[in-house]
Amino acid sequence: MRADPPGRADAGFARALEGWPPPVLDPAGPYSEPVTLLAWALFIGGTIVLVVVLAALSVALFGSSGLKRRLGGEKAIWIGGIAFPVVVLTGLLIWGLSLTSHLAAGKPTGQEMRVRIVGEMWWWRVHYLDRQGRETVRDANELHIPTGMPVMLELQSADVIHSFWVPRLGGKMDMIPGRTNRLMIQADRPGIYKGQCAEYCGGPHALMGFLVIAHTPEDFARWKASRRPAPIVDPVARRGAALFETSGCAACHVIRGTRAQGLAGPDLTHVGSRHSLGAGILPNNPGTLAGWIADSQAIKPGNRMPPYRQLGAEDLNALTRYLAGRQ
Amino acid sequence: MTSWLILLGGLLLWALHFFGLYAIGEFGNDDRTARIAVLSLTLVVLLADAAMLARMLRRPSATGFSGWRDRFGIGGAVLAALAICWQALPALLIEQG
Amino acid sequence: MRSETGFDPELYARFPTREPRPAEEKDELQRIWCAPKGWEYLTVVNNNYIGIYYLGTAFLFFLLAGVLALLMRVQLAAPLLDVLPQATYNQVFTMHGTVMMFLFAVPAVEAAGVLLLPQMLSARDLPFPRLSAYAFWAYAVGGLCFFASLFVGLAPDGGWFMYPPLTSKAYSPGINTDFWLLGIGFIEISAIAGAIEIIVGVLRHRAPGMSLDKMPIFAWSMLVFAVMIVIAFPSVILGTLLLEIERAFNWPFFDATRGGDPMLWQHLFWFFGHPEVYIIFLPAAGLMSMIIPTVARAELVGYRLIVLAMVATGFISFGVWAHHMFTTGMPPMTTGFFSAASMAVSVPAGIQVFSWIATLAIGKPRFNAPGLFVMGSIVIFVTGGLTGVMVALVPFDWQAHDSYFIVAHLHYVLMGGMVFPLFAAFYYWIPMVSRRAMSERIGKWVFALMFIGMNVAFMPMHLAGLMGMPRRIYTYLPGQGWELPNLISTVGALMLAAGVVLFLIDLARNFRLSPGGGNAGNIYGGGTLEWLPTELYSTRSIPVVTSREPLWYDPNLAENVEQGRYFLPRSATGLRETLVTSPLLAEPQYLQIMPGPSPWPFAAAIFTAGFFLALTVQAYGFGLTSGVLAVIAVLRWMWDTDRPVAMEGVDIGGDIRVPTYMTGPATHGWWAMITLLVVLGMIFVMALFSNAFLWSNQPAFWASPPAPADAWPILALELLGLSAALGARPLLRRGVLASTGAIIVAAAALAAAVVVDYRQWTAAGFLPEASGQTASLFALQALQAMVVLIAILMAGYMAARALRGLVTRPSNNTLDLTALFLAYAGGQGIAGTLFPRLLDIAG
Repeated sequence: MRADPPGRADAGFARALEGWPPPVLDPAGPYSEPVTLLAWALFIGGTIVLVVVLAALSVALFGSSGLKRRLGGEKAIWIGGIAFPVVVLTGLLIWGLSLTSHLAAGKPTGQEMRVRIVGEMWWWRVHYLDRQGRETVRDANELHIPTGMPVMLELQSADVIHSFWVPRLGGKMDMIPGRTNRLMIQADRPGIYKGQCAEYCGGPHALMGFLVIAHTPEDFARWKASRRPAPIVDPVARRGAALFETSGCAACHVIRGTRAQGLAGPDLTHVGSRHSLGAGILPNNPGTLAGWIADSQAIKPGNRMPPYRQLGAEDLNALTRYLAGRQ
Repeated sequence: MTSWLILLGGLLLWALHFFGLYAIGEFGNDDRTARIAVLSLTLVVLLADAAMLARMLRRPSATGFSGWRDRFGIGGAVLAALAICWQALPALLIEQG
Repeated sequence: MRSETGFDPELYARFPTREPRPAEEKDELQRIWCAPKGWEYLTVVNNNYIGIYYLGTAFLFFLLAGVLALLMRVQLAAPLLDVLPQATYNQVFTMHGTVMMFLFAVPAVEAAGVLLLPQMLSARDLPFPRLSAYAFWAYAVGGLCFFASLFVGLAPDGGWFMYPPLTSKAYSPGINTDFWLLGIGFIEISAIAGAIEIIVGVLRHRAPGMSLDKMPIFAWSMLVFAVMIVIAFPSVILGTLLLEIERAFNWPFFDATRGGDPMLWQHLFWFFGHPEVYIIFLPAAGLMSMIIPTVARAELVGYRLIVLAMVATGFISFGVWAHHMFTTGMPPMTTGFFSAASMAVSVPAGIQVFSWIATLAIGKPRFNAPGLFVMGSIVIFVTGGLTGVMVALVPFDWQAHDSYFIVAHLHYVLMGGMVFPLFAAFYYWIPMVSRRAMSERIGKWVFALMFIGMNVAFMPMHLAGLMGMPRRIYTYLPGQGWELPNLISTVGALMLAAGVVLFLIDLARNFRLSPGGGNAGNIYGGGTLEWLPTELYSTRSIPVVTSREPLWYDPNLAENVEQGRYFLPRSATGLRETLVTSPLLAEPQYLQIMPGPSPWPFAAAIFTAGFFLALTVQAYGFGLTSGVLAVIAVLRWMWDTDRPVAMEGVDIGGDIRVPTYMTGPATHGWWAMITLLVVLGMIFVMALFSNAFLWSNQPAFWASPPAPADAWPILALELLGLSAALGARPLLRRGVLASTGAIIVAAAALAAAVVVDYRQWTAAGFLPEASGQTASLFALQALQAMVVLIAILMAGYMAARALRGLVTRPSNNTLDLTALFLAYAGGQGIAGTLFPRLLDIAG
């Protein structure tokens, strides 16, 4: 899933090009753009150096004796192996260090949006903070941001080391128990930006995805205003709500405005409006939601949620209806 | 011992400098003080390296192992000077966050 | 510098000697260095056998870890495959990395050193043949048991880097992690034993006249390699020790909730882990620098620059460890220091590459199998080096780190920097140990398959990484464009494997081991001493070296050496022996008597392995018994050594006489002990660092230590121990009793100091489980207790030898080494007493 919302690209050709251009080379904001420029400079420069070395090797192996004589001596080492690398590397080092200074997150200035993200085995807890660092909204596995505004992420871990990485918006930063690391990201265009845990965290580390959804500032304001517990309308969903509390779901999940206050798993107050399930690995629709509840272990082996195969079709349907309505 | 010092002197100075910088970064915290400490340590180590280099260059050129050793030492001191200078760049270019 | 030891270099002019040597001399050499039969293959200690065993075992691990890689590649060939279930995959990738790094790469180059160095330096064997045998058997037995954990599903699954808290008891309750910690900790010990051997061998066992500037490049690279092991491995030894203690006894070194810090592990691990890469690369580069002159039929261009490059790499590689930690939130300025050092370390690599190219340019390169592998290696290594510069830049690394870009980078570096040179070395040196050379025709196919396969496998991984594919994932979702690069990688991996299989076929068809001579010989025309005619005793006589490629400059050298016209054309004492020379100029100093075959190193290795494996499966009784038996076996093998022979001085040829027994700082034993003490010292320094690191990073958990002034009884005991140890050597002139008494007093005083120190901390309310601070300071004490325990064992051994009248006067090596060790223990005790008490005051 990339910037274009899923479903818009319809042609088979577009599908074949999925993943292209590579996210690292397709920056969407000021914290990734300069790195992409650096990357291109490195790739092009690196290719040139490789070609030069290959040319020198070819001369050494196949060249005329005159050319070979020029290459065969300590002078070649001094020029090719010492002088040239020193000049190039000095330049690169200065560029790299200046960029490090420019991109590294400092202390909060009050100008940026603040979000605390806590890595869990194997999902992400998301706390939206106000300027003073107080929590305003709680969510999981996806982050909504306004375009054009720097976002400071305060990254923590609840268990083992994870790493937050959304390549089109910025570099990665580890989430380490006992520490708070800061990372700046920003999206300049609306869209969905995919990320994935980059530090091996055991078990289903491979299936610990994350989405950043960037809205225009107006859309973002609307999204924010909609962060209120949704009413339960139809009777099937009402039965689902009861089941949620009696079948064990509430022991691990929070749904605000209800008695479900379990903290072990993701907050489900707005699960129906999420773009994905299982931490960025499944599209979110009633079918996948029911499948996840019935047997998430078949989808994401090793995750902390037990299978609920004992639920009958009707119960499952009721639960799904209830959860899908948590917009 | 003298031979080993000639052979490894420059690189030993590099090591002294590098681990000094690491200690400043790891165990010091004050931004400005750290920067000043990095730069002064760099200056001291570079002066020592230069003094060593000057002494080796003034030695009469010898043949055999001694000559080889002296030229090796000069190379090491030059390489070390380069690495030491690079190592000091972060203190000039990076704002401590 | 004309002479280093007072030896007159004019004496070299006496060689080659003219008078014919008696024929029985050669027969006697053959008898003394005879080949093993039957069970004796387990008790051999000669480097010709141990080297081959070692290399063969390392290569076996290369194949095993290669099979694991293929399994992973098949699993990743398409999204959401189910070839390897998640838990198995996590074990397989952990084992692939661990086995390749610890059981293949380091042992393989160490094995190459064991096999080649004595021949290249023209020594009869390495200085401590029984130690080599022990190191090999410990590695082979331990390594195979460790690998077998995979078959019972108990293999470690925390990644080869084993980051806590994932590997702590809370998140990895099984014994899988303990297998890693104990298995690897134990194999590291074997690597260190090998490193001590190589340092002393290279510096003290060179042919006369082979001054440092005439030493084969490979010997230089092995010297740097061994010194790096001695400095780097202690860090991971301490790390594994601390993590195992945390798991077993709940001391919170890495637990952030109790004042430990998971970052401490990363520092300890990478302080070893990055030098490790160069530890692997340098010897392989040394092999390259040996092969290229022969392939090009030209002297190496820039010998001095290459040596400088290697030594500089050895240093600077200790300043790059945190470039594995650029995304851990380190202060940006600190990342900058490591970024700069990572840049600096690439300069020496460039020097070597251009030296190789220049050497090929002045010569007439041949495209034989070793030549092709060498050229392929240059191309691959340069590519890996260039991506290395890229990831040395912090902002780029923020993107590339832990993605498949890194997987591509590290495989280019290690394949180009180690695997391809090793295959070149196989083709180049197999004629030295086999009756038949390998097939040139098959060799070219092997190269083509491996070279193309390697690039097809790893080039697309760069792209996969830029597409956002993280490392260490057992599967991936479709629709991200990762399918195609992964499929191509899998095809390439299979090609690479096909090349290796073809190599095995060639090996089966042509490799016929012949350690005692009768080998295919110098078919490529190499110029260094290993191409002299050799038998199990190495060369018949030990030549005087006047150039870097002696065989090219003296066409009669082989004949003269074989006819015994140089040093030591016979066994002077009727025992295994070799010539010890001075470290800079290689002037003959004395004759070292070498031990012969013995079952005790083998037994010691088996029991050491038993000890560690029993600890892993928590069979403590069996483990303890094994440990005691291992110590007994080691002492038993030591017991035969350090026996002066009747002749005090012997003629080593050309009427030059050297002593057969020497004591003091110039001896090989003294050098080995100093190296060992550096290892212990480094472990201790890393433990001090751990204490300081937690102090600096977890101030909230820091309690005030007991007042330093109250430590005076401990310090007094330690000073008593130190001075008694220092006094033991001069006291030997007075008598064996006085000297042994001093040793025992020293050991007793140090033991008492440990007890008093421990009591003082516990009386002040400090308990090891309480916090990172207490855990790390009791770790210091545990280290001191361990060193003192060894010192007590040594003192007992010394006393036993004194009782049996084995202590020579006026000076004795066993006493010297015991006293040195005790003095070290005293020094370490003083530092360990003061440091944790003064740390808080310093802050």
